[in-house]
Parts: sequence; C-alpha cells; structure tokens
Amino acid sequence: MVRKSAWLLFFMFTMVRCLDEPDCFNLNNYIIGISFKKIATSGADTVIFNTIRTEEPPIIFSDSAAMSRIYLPLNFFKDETTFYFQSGDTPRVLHLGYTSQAQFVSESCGERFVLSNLRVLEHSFDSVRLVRDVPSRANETAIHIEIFR
Amino acid sequence: MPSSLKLKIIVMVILTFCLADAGAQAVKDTVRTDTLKNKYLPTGIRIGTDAISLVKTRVQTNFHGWEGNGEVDFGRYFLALEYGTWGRDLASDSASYANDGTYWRAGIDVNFLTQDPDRNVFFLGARYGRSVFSEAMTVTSADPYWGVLSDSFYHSGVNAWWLELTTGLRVKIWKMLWLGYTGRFKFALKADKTPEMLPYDVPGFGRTDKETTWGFNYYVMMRIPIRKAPPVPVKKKK
Repeated sequence: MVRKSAWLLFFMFTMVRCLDEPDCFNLNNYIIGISFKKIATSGADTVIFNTIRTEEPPIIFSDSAAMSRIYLPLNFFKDETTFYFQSGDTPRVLHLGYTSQAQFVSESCGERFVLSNLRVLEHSFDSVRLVRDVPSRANETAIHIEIFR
Repeated sequence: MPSSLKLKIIVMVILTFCLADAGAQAVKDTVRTDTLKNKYLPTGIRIGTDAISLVKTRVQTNFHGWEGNGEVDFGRYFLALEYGTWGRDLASDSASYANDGTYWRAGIDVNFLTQDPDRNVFFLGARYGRSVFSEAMTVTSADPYWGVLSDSFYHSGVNAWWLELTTGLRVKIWKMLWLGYTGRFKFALKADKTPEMLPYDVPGFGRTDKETTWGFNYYVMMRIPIRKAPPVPVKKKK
C-alpha cells in the first residue's frame, strides 16, 4: 500500500510539472477607462474633444469624436503619463502617476509590465474621481477614472 | 490568499496529519516490544546531492546549479537540511533575463516505513525555504501606442521565503549508497519589495507567476552510521 502510494505521488508530481505554461495574450495591464459625467446629476455626459494627446512622445489618441467614455494607454516605461484634452479653445490636463514593474514571463511570451497604484497627480477639469487604482488589460472595459463637468 | 488555495493547503495538512496518526497507531502496537533506551538518538547522517540539478546543468544551456542535502534520524523523525545554488539565463524575442542565487530549506520528515528491515524510508514532511538572489532583465518592447521602447532592470540581494509540503522515498541500494526522491508542493512565497521589476524565478522555489508550484529532486546519497541502530520492531501477527 505504502509503495503504491509512493509511486502514485511520484507520477503525480512529474505530470503536474509538465502542465505549467503561461498564456501570452494581453500581458500588460496598462489601459485605463475614463468616463465623463455631468457634475449636477452624475449621469453620463457626452463630450467632443478636438484631440486627446500626449506630448512625450507626441501621440494623438482621438480626433473630434463624441464620446461618453474612452480607453487610453499608460506609458509603462515611465511612472507618469499626462493626457491633454483639447475642446474648442479650452485645454484640459490629466496628469496620472502609477507604479510600473517589469516581469519576465517565458521564453515564448517575453516580458510583461504590471501597473498598480494609479493616482491622479494633477488635473484641470472641474472634478476627477479615481474609481480603480489597478489599470486593465487591453480587452477589458473597466472604468478607472470619472471626470465630472 | 484565494480561498481555493487555502482549501488545498488545509486538505493537504489534514491528510498529512491523518496519515501520521495512522502510522503512529500502527507503530503503537510494536512500541511495547521496543525495550531499547535512547530510541530518539541519531543513528546516522545521510548526505547527498540532487542528480536532476547536475544533469540539467550539463544538458541545458540556460540553467546552472546544484543542491546538496543532509538528513539526521531521530527515531521515525528526520531533520532535513538542503542547500543549493541556481541560476538561469533566458531570452525571448523582446527580452533577456538572468538570475543567480543561493537557497536553503530546513524541515522535518516523518517516516511511515517503520518496520522495513532495510530501514528504507517513505516520508511526509514540511520545509521552510529561504533564498537570496539577484536578477536582471533587458527589454525592447514594440507597443502599438508607444512605439519601440527599451530599458534595463536590475535587483540584487533580493530575499524570498516560502513553505513546502514534501513527500518522498529513500531506498538503500548497496552498503552506504542510497537513492531517493523528494516531491514538493511549494506555497506562500513572499519576497522583498522590488520597485522596478517583479521576480520571475526564485532560486529553490521556481517560477513566481502562480501562487503555488511543484518541485522534484532525485538524490544520490551516502549514509554515514554514527551508532548501532536499534533492531526493527517486529510486526505482530494477527
């Protein structure tokens, strides 16, 4: 009985060791969801920005589209990203800070960046509320920041 | 810690104690016949090395390491100590990773083959493990939004510690030569905070992307006797 158990445990360990490869899909959690809300009612607000962009590097994420929410990527090689929202002549700024940590995943997947501790460092909107402090992966639709106007 | 992991650990611990209790019950019948004093004095030291680490070091280009182990018996209980080094050099299309460090584990094994005439051992046990290591990674990442970015990360003197439930066999082959294996269920890994980079592989523990992992060692050992062992208790016939 004891010998049979010993052999069984031996094969169990060997088998489990082989079933251990990670998935390579959407490894970085660097996407934040922003929803726009009316400050009076807290209901969804539809906004039109001429552009939503960053400066370093200069990237334009949106161009004159009506939206009530948007998903933006954080620069995972830095600990801060500043977004500029241009609506008519009024520029708005949203300066975000976070912790970005690199991690090797496997020889086939490469690396991933794990972002956490998201916080609003500075903004020029009427009111900004942080809802979640861990950014999402690319296929997720969570909202992290609510902007009230 | 997720509830499924807690449940797994609780079940394994309960199973270990149930088996230990059953073994103790079996031994209880024979204890009466064991009239020798100093039952818990060590009879020998078994020292060995992990053959899998040595083979991997020779065969695999991305691993180097070795592990030595030592065991001392106290009746049916064994004090086990293990010490080793381990390093990896891994590369993908976008990143290269290397780590290097030492580790040790200490714990107790409980023998369930108490009436084996050759004193072979089938055990269940537990370990506390600790590792100090350094790791480095270089990344060149092509992101659809941010373009091609590259950076290097390095941490040294990172401490990590963990727990293990173990099981295995020790079999006497010839005179002082013994062979054996240890299977390990490793869990509750904790590590120093590393600001820029999360550990991928902890020497002695393994990959960190899951909360639990498994390990396996195949030991070639030598047993050095230090006193005459008491006679094996005779099994009572029903």
